[in-house]
Amino acid sequence: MNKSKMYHNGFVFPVILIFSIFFIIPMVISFYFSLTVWNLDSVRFIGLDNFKTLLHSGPLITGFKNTFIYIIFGSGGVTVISFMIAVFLTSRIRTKNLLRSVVFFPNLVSSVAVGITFIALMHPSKGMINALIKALGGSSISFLGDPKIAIFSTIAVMLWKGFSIATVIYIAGITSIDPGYFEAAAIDGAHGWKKLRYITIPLTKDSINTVLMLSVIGSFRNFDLIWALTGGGPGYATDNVASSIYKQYTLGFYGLSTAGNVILLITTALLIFPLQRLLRGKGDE
Amino acid sequence: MRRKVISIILLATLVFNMVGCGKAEPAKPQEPGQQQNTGNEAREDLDSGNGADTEDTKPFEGVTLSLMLTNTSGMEGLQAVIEKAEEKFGFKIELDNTGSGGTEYNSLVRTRLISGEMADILYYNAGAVLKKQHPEDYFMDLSGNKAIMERLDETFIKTVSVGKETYGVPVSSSQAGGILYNKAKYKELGLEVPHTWADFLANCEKAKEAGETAVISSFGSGWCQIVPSLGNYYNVHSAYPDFAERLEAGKAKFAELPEATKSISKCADLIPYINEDFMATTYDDACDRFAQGEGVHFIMLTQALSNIYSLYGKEVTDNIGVFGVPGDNPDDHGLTIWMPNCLYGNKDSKNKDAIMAFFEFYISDEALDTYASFSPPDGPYLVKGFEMPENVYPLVKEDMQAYFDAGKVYPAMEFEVSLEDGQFAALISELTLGVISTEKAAQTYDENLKQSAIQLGYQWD
Repeated sequence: MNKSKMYHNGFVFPVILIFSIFFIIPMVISFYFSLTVWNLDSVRFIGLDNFKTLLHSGPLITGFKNTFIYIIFGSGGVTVISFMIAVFLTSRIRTKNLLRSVVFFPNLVSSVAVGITFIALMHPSKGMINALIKALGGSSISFLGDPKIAIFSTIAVMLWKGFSIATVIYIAGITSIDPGYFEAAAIDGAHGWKKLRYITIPLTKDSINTVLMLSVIGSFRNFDLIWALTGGGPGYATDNVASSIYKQYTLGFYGLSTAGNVILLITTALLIFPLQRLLRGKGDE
Repeated sequence: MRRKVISIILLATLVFNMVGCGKAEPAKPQEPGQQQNTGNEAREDLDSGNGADTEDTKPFEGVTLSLMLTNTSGMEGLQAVIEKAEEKFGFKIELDNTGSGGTEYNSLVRTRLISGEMADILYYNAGAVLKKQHPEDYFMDLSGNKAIMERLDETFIKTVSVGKETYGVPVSSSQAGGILYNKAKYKELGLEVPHTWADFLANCEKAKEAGETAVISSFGSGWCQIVPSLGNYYNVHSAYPDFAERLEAGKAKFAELPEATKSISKCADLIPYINEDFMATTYDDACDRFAQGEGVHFIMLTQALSNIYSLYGKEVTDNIGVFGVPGDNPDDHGLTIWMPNCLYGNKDSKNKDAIMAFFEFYISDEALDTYASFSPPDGPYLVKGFEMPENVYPLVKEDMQAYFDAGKVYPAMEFEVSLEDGQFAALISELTLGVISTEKAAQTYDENLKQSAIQLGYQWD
């Protein structure tokens, strides 16, 4: 690695400059503004009051709860289900290429369009899904209007949209496995499940880690789809941390919403760093 | 080798971008801060306009004014008035339609004000929402202009003033937030206009028994659900005449004063009577369904009439009546009214005279007639001495006017109190869905208002 340094260190400078202007400096400034009442032109220092308010406010706590539901069901779902799809799509089937494009399609549609489409599909009285349920003899479900169901409807849409990238990562991982392993396993008499358990899964561990990491981060910062689909409603039932902070922002509580962002930054860091270490460590084994 | 090439290309792009940034910046000081991107054009127009001045007597020939607004129901009327004004004064008004609604428009207005990029004229709310933007720092004071001040209604002036300064002229008429009802259905079901809340609920019950949707509700748009609560403000004020001051001082609480709590419990009372798909129904859906005869009541701002009128015409709007959200005393059945959106002039605009002339013209009989010929008024006008035009909805001419004549009207809370709870709609959704109780909703409402007080810098203990 070090035998001949290809570039001068100065080449890092533009990146560091841009990174500090757009990330480091705003981050440091935001720590200050999180301690104030701020209306963009006048600032009043109030100490830790914003944090106290936020930690006692129902919406943000609901936001945290929901974020964890999104992580567990959303990221978990993406990680597991898209692995299955990838295994299916790398097996010997005829329409492989067509199916791969089909699976990738949802990723090409913008989140807002997906949101609007699913609002129509899930409409309790006019939606296609409910028309189907009624035709099959069920009674209509208020997918996005019932606070108990809405979050799972949102997760379902997220999964639908989230599969594609994860599946592509998995496909890349699976196809890069040396076919020799499978042949050797076949000679030893391993089939189906055993091949999957002892060859495919261990050898795609890196892809699994990547997908898991990406989807956890994705669940944390997911905003556009939730906003387009439910606007965080009904009530606060589908709000995650990001959308509840955005709501504070639109209300003109700039100091308060900055404090929310600081909290979000800290929790994301607290969650991601250990997770990364854990998964990296496992990958080295 | 290839890596080297790629790195060089990447680096080159970065450097170019930065040079680009560097170049863009010095351009800023040339624009003296207040004009929008139309500023340069305006200046050019001015130069060319000066030459043409000799042959034309129009006072503001060549001036271009920008007007920031968002989608609104009375757009045609506004445009017609602008056209007339352009003809008369010679200036050009360029509409900058941001197309964003509600809270997003608020943020946009805020950022443009702060960054000094506000248009010459702003289309914006009156009352609490305006006052949160610190109008004294940004808008032209109209209080020195007698022609304007003497034309405007006093109640209205209060909602667009801070201290002795006044900032806005009304874009359209006032409107009411009340219970719209289908007159034909009322006749069919043998119902009478109720004067107490209990009577109203009894009417709903009868409608429900007859198999009708008693109340059309549209929670899908994120604001309609709060109209019943806000519409109850006449009753709150009537029970506690000093409610507004006490609320602003942090001494009155919705959870503690029984008549105020009713603003919230009334929403809970409606639960058995609303349409099943209320969460997915949007404002436009609801107007549509109400116009087509579905639903006996629709608790809404009377601006819905303009919406329905533009879709279905006069026959349908003639069939709609309105009454205020009733209280408990049948002799004190009043109506809560809403102030219209207003136009505000940018303090830093270079063309203040043109703006002032436009505002004066905007509240003249000629302009108001023009506006009304496109969008009939949703309520009485707040301009003194203006005769209502011919094409008025019966709802306005008969129902609303009766409340005005009897003096039983009062502006909604947002026009009297600067505190505001932007999350009230979510709260009412939770209440209606049974997630929280009335008591809890009222307490949360009080807390959210307190948050707004902190933001405004009020000192509560």
